[in-house]
Amino acid sequence: MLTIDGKAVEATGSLLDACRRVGADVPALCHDDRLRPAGHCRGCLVEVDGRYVTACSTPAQDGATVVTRSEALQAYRRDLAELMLAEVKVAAPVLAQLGGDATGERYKVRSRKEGRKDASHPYLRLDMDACILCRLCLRACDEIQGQFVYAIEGRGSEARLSWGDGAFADTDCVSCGACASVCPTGAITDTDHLRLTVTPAERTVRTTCSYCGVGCQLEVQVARDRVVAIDGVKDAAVNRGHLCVKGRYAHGFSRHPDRLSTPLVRDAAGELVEATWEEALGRVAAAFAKHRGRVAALSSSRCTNEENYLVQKWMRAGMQTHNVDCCARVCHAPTATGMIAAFGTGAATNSVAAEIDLADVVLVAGANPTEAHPVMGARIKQAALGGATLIVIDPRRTELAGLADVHLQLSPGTNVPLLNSIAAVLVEEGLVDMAFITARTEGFEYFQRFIAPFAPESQEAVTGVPAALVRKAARLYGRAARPMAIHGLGMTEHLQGSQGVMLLCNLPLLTGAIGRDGVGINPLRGQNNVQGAADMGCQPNLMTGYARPERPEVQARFAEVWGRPVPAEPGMTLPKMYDAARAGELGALYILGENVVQTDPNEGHTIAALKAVDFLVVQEIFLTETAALADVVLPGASFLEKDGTFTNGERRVQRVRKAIEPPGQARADWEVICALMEATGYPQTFQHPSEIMDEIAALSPALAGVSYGRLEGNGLQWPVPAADHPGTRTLHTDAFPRGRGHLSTVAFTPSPALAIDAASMKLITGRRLEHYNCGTMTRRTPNLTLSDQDELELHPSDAADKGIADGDVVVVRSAFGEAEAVARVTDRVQVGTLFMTFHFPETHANAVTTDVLDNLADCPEYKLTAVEIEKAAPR
Amino acid sequence: MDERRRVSTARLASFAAARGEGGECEDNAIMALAAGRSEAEVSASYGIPAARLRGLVTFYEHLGVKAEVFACSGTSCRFPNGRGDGRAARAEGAHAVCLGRCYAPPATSRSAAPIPYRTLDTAPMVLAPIMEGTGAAALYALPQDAEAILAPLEASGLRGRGGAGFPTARKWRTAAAAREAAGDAWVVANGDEGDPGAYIDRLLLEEAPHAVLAGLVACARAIGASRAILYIRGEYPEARARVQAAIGEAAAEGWTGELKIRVVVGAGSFVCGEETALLRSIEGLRGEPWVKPPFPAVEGLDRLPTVVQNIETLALAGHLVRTGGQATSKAFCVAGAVASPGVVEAPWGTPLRRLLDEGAGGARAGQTWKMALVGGPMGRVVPASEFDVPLSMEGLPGLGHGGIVVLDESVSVRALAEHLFEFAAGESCGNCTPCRVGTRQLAGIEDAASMERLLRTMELGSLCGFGKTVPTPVRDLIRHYGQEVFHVDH
Repeated sequence: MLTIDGKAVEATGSLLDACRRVGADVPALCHDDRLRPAGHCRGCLVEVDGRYVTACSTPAQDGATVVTRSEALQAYRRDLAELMLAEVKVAAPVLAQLGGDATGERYKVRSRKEGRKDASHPYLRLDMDACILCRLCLRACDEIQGQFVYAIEGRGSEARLSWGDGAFADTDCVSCGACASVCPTGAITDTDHLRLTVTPAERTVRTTCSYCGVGCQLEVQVARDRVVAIDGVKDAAVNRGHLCVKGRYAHGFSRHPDRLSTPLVRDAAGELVEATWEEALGRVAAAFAKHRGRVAALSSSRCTNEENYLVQKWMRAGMQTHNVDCCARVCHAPTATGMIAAFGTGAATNSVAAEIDLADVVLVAGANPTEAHPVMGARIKQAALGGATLIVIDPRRTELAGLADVHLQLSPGTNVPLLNSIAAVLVEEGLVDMAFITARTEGFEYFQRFIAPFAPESQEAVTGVPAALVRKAARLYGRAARPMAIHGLGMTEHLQGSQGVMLLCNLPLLTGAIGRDGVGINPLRGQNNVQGAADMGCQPNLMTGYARPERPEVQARFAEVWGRPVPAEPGMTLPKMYDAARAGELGALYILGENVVQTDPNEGHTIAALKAVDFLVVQEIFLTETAALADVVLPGASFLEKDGTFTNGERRVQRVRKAIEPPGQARADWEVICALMEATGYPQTFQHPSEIMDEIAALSPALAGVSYGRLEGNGLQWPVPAADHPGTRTLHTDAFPRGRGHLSTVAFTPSPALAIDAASMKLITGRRLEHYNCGTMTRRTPNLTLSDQDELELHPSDAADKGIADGDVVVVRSAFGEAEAVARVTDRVQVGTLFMTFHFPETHANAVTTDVLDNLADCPEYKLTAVEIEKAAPR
Repeated sequence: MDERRRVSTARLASFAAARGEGGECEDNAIMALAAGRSEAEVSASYGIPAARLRGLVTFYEHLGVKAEVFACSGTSCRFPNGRGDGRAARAEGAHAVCLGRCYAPPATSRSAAPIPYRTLDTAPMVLAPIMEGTGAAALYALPQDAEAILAPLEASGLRGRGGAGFPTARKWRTAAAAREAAGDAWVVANGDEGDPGAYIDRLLLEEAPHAVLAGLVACARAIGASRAILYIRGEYPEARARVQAAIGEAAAEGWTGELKIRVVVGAGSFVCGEETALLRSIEGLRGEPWVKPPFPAVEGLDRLPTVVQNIETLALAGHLVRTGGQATSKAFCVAGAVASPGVVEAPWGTPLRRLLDEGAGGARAGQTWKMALVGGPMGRVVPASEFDVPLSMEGLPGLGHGGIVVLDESVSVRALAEHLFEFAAGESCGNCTPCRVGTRQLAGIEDAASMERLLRTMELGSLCGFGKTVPTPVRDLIRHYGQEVFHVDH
């Protein structure tokens, strides 16, 4: 215990922490709990047993007597404020913290030249005339994001904050806004918060970001039914106040004039025209009645759990078909398949957000999180900067690969031989945990024999990775106390995607790196609610809570809740739906919030399938390329405009809260689905998404203890088997759901793309930081200023061979179609490989991509298509 | 806070360098820039953003300066032979804060006069045997066992000679204890002798480098360090050459055993003498002090326990461990209005007047002493009437490194004050508000009450010893000379 201003308090943390606990107001201007104390401002000076120390940087110690208010300290703070005023025009809130009575007349020497100002960035605004050099911006940029944009130039009174010589927009800034969010003076701010000074927020609403599966918590500031600004929730378990350029800034789409605000129906002339809800719903009801038995639904991983639940309930109970799938099919279905085969559960085994700092080795396989999952990417980067060993498996030199201790830059499509060779080293060099293998796994004896021939030396020619590097990586992983594996779509979107995931799962099964803190297999989910859509049952073979429809006891349980029998016929996956449509076997298709024309592979095939369907209904917020093909378009709500829940990649169910109204006649999607269910003869009684969650909980053992009342704050990580269960951070601590972990033995089946002639190049598609998937939302925000076109990365030597210069338009041609993108010549890609983004519909990136599917989960092989390129003819 | 999250900005920025070309933090961006590599080149090979490199160039005085010759602007050279208005040598050559040639003012980097060394009387001296040039091999005859090093060191009563006077054995024991968990440790020799008026470290580095290296070996054995760094200020190129030759010789002879010793060279920043700033400079960063705790002896370079020790202290430590004596004497550097400037080793407690009269030949012909600046620009001002003060940490607290510049009657109080203000404003690193802004205000203050208010703010609030001790000589001046401090007469 120590005493602060006469009050006793426990001696834990810093003196500043202790001061806050007793309510002593100490002006800590340069402090943020997430950053290392730096003591630049000297505002938090307190007296400790006659000595003066800064509270932020001094540990609270037993027996100390601390004074935070005294005449000497008041005089000191006042004088400090006077000194600040000699240097710069100090913001009123800062002066107020220091006592507020400084006048700026005490010190005569004006010690600073006029400060730099910059407005080159679409969001950030810098005015160094307001900078008190507290360096919070610099430290946040370094210690939270890891971007190192800022620097201090000059010495002594010449010291100033700098971002190099050029315009701020030309720096390495990733527009995360961390600097602006911590600046106490307004020296760095952003356009949204400047707008707040004109239009103060009427209220703030906490909700969950919809821009990826990380699940960052947002504090949305609302005025006049518009989102004015978004801040990160400081105490959020997932993001600790941090956000990325999408989550923090890309909200303008919500009030974009392109928003759908009325239902649309196709008129006699074939045009989409505005219609009433009654008319639109009537058309859907008629079509679905007519095509009963030949209908299907594609649900959306961008929508809430409640909405996904309703879509599959509608199909299964209402329409009596298992023809329901979602976009997890085209991203992480192989993760589920692979992990279920290995462990029995398809979800992340650990919590990257909570445990990354515990890991001593981080293995990132086929993921580019600093762009696709930026907040978690920043955490991984910080872990590596803090000393964790980083191993990256990626055909491209991503940002993390550039920082990695070992980058296994494999040839595209060779995950299987590479992972086998890593496992071979683990076994050969005795880097396995025999006690764990004996107690928790099955098949080791066979595995041992199977894996022996896969030594890295024998796979080098296939994978292109030097054997020594593979051995190094295997040793680092095998010798680590807590190796954590994190993977993305580079693992799953392949012919052997599911099997690749199984092989990744072999690594922790061999080394015992599962079932405890800081380890495991952790998929980074692409869309915000991929986990939830699967949990809800938006796949043909598994119902809510992964219940198997063919089991009689499951049928009985669901029939009781749903009041309808569970259909007997198996359903179709998304690719099978397309095939059925082209074969004339699908009469009506409902698509919720997915722009499949732009995002699904082999665009020509997708369009042909959608056109072949007799009746297409699309529920959307914009008239996307897919919605434009529909017979009826229903206007839905963005995540900012409705209530519900999302489940992030670490199984955390978090609340989505309505901040603003949907535009015009648009409605919350759960309401629209209920209306569709009623129109098609299966009325529902739900008045609020919380009631839907109650029904979900009744059907789903892992969510049995979830209810809205328990989801305030940081939500709950499933399994939550009972109402008094705290949730589960780490899976498989005692046993696997399937009993023993299964060591998979998988031989390499090369993709057909690898068999195409030697002259062809290997195309990988993927994402950029500024845009989210098809870009429907982010392209309608100032993020467009930061990135306004799709790019094709190619190696300088390939560029030279083909006579292509950086910035040229390039035609990319495959057996499936062609696309055009702007060349970016870079050695981030290997010779012979290409990388292209698909955020802009005019690029038609997916006109080129393959028809090859994962051999177990039907997920397309986006990460490998054989193509040829040439410079486009001048237009 | 989770230990793993306690990643300093320092390590984040040096991370790229450490993993890039060069690989080891001793080979840092500052040295690369000082060696003439372009900012663009260094940025690319060390992976350090361009703006950060500009931050280095604008921090370290010698980077980006293409000068053949540096002119000294230390106290003794601004007031050559202890007289004048403090403006001497301002115009010539590029500016450097004290070249360690205070005994031969006004000095440039080309001045080559040898450093005079003498002892005050026949009392047993500590440094004298070292300076007499015992064979180098004998200097390394140290016990292997940590306790056999720490016990005599403790008994010697040795305290750090850099100015803070922290008991040396206690620091080593702290590091030795922290090393148990950390697995390794660092020893860093602080050869950033920046105090104008002090040149004992230069003397030792140039004339007795093996004594310093032996001290490093003793410390490394005591704390279990496998690596050592000798940081030498950029103003001492001769010292660097001598030390590097000595390291080579010692390694060849096997005197330093398994200990790996590297030299890191500074590039012109007084504040780098502060231990946390020194570590950051070694890491290739701006030499800005950082908050303590953690103290370097617990967590320093590579987050390992790191003993940062002044050169004179190390030389003494090795000797005291070997011979078992007491740390009873101090080497004072005398300059200014004396007949025979030089290093004078004298017993602690020797009155200043006796040191000057018997050790430095008394007043220079024709000059009358007015005052002495003892311990550099953040040390003490002693008026001639008080020259009987005993030179000890107790008798004259704040005497610091022990450099003494004696000024004669021609020097106005205001001239000395302005010199101190200029030094303070010029060398403040800018890291914390009271020092960054306060040092710039000093020259504009016109009365004692306002000055005391500002000094109090700097003393209470400054992050490191620099801002905290800038007030010391200013207060002495006001106490002894009152309003003269504010009397601007030019």
